[in-house]
Amino acid sequence: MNLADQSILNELVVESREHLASIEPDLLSLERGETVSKEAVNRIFRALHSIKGGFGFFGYEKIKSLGHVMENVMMGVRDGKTQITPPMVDALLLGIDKLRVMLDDVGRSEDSEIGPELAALEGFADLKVQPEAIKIPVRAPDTAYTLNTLPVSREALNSFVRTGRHLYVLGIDINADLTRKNRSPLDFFKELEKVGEFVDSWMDTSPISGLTDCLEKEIRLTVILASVLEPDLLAGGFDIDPNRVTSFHKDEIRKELSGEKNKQGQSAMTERPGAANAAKIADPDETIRVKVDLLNDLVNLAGELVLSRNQLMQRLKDTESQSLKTIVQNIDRVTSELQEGIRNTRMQPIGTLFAKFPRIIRELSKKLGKEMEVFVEGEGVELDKSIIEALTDPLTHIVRNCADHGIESPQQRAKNNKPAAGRITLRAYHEGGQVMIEVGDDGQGIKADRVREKALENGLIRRENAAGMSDTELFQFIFEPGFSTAEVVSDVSGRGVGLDVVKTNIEKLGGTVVIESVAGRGTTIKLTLPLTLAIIPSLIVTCEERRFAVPQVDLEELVRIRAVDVSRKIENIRGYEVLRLRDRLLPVVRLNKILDIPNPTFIDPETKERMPDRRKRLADRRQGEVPEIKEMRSAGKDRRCSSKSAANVLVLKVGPNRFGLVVESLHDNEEIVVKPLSMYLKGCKCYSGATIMGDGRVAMILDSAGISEEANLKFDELSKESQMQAEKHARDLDKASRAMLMFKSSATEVLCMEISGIARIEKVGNADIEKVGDKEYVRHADSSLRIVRPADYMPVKPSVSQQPHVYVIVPKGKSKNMGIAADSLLDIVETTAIEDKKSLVGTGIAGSMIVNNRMTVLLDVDSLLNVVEP
Amino acid sequence: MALRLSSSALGAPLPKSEILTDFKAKIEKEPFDELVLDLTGIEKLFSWAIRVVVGLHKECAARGKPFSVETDNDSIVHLFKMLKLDSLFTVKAVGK
Repeated sequence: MNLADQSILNELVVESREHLASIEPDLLSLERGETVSKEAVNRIFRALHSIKGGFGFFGYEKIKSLGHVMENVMMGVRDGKTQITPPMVDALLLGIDKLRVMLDDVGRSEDSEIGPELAALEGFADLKVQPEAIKIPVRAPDTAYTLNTLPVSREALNSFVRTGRHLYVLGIDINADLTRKNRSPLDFFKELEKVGEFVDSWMDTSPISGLTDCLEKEIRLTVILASVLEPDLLAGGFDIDPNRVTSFHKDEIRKELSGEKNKQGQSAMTERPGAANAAKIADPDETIRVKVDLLNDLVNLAGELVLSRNQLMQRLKDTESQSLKTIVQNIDRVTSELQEGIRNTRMQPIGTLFAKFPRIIRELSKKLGKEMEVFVEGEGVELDKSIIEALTDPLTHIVRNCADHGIESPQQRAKNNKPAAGRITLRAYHEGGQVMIEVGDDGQGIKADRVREKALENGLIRRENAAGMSDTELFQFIFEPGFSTAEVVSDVSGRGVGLDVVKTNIEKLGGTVVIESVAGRGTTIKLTLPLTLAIIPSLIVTCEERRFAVPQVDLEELVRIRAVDVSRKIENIRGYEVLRLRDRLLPVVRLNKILDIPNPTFIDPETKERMPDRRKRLADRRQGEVPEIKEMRSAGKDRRCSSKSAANVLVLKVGPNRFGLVVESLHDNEEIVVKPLSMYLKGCKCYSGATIMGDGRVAMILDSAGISEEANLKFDELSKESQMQAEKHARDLDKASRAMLMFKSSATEVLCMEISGIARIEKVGNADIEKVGDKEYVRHADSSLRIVRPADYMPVKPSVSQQPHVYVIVPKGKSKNMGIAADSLLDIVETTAIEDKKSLVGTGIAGSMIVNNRMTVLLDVDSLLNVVEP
Repeated sequence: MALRLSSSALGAPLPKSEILTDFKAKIEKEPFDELVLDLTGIEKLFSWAIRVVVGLHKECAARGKPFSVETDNDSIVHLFKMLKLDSLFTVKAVGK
């Protein structure tokens, strides 16, 4: 095979793989559909027809035969003669798998055994039906040919267009063009093949009746040839009358092919509602195939350009020249756009990955005897190609886990009043500059208690810590190697060797994975991934004269702790230095310590000198014989106020956890080109890569997960401590704040009592008050309620109210049926005012408070009632 | 009874009309059930020879008798296939 043919064959293999990839989801959706989608059937039919025709053209009979039978099956569906059934889909999928295998080694495809696949398909295919073919017409020599009457397949026409060749129909008169010119037909064909590709030929023998006239009558030999030669060159080169050369320019062929696509055959099927949602097939003229290696080269070059741009900007940042600044700004803008554009060339929709799962779930449904469906959202979300490729195995494992351990058996689902078909959802969306992928199921969920037991059994946690761990924290143990709560290990999953690999692979991509689950309702596994690995925004920081890059996606916030606050905000709990940040405790790590940089120093912010730092702990004040400190001490100044002791803390994310990283100083945000670590540094957990800065020096890229692991941070212990402190704080707040009823029972004083001590308040008309001696009663239900007027017993002024009613405040939980009379109810306030028990004393007085800037008498209900009726 | 015709002159570049006379006489003289044209030993067929072959095919067709060609030359077999003449009569490849 010559080079040109090999190139066309390679292209055919690539296209055929794409065809097969597109057939599968269409086939599965047809299997599920209630009415058949005409568009999907036509897509499958065209794909199989292309594969069959293309490889038949090259003489690969096995591929052609299998494709032919599959095409027949789909023709029956297209024409409404057969229905899509699961056994038919099984047979077609078997055929697709075999075609894939043959495409992987086209050269040996003729040795493949396709008997089982043909046997599976033959029940569904009408093998007597010949697929559409353009028949050879019987035409008079002078009749003009048209493209759609020539015996040339669509695939062949496509390949001519792709390779820039025109199509020629040559009418050779045997006598005039061959015999008289002493040319043998075979030699003529060989000459033709030197300038083009021989497509087909035939001879019209009708003028000859027998031996009598065989040498006299002219007979026409028709040859179809594909060539890059222009028509006049071809006719002249072979000395053929140009009137007997019919040419079809490649553009004309392309137009004809486009026209054929638009008038695909009518079918007996109805259009399925919502079929408009089916993916739009890209117009081939709008896309171009590019080798991945070329794209990788472009990404690398873009990265180098970004570095050079950074260097240029740094060198020219102080320039006075305005015109130069403008040029640099323009270069900056163009470089950013170019980098963005090149990055986008490698972006692929995650739908290409999600498309595999309907088939996987279909197979698992049969294997596990469970009915399951896959729902997909966000197929259009794009990720770098290398990330998508690396996600295939982890996602497959997660989905298999959902099917095997998540979704219950049909009997169990019926018992739990769940729909018969288990639901597995794949969802992708953007959030915060990253891509989130969720794989969820509506199955049995994970029992946190079971995980807790297993974690204790495996020695992963201590018993005293186990009770305080949240479910999310417990579920992280599921990613430990060998951890499995599966009661039954199957060949699908359950050995405890899969999810640890999933986590490792995701983390290698710079992502994180978290499990959320509710027992009885379902589980969701959330992956967080960067959009791209090549160029990332980062914050540049310094530590001990070394520069480091912190990826922005890992950075939650920056905290500068003033010198006066350092000793207050940085505490020591369970042996860790922790930062109290709002309502949580963050473990704090010093970068120089974690990187094991000896002889730590600090930069004096006033003199800019680098001085030795003898602090053992961050919260320690600087010690040593620094003259300035000595002077400040002797002057009585609080050296904690010196900005020398301020701390820069980066709050970094590791999955759901946070920790603080103390660095020396902060610099700019920069887009950096990520260079992978060399093999000698791959074991350094604290680094995820390296980059070259604008001045040509190297900066290491920090890995927050690696740093937290190196520092051995125990997030669960600190989380528990933080929770305990939060609860205590809440209790303290509760105690300090009380709801008080403010009321008046006398001319001047304001009284108050706690709302929590009041059963009810009743408004009683003066006419309803009955007197027995000097005691006042009001009827309530079947009993009498004694009214107590505070002024009668307490050292307060008597009431002067002229109101025709009185309010009776009935205390809660008292054995004596009494109520306290109030002339007016002023307000209900929440107050944290402190009780003063000393300033005001007397019967029925618990103390006084300042509420709403007014002295208020706090009623002692018990002592008052005891005085009224001892 | 099969009538076998052959002539080494069929490999000549220029037409030999005496071949036609010879072939015609034999066809008309000898009754046959099938006609076999033996091209064994012929290196190359020129276009005039192809026309003779077609003429023989037409003679047989007129008489309702089958016609076949035998050759030991792969390029001649290939040529007949390219010209689609193998759809009109049988082309047999025989050993050298």
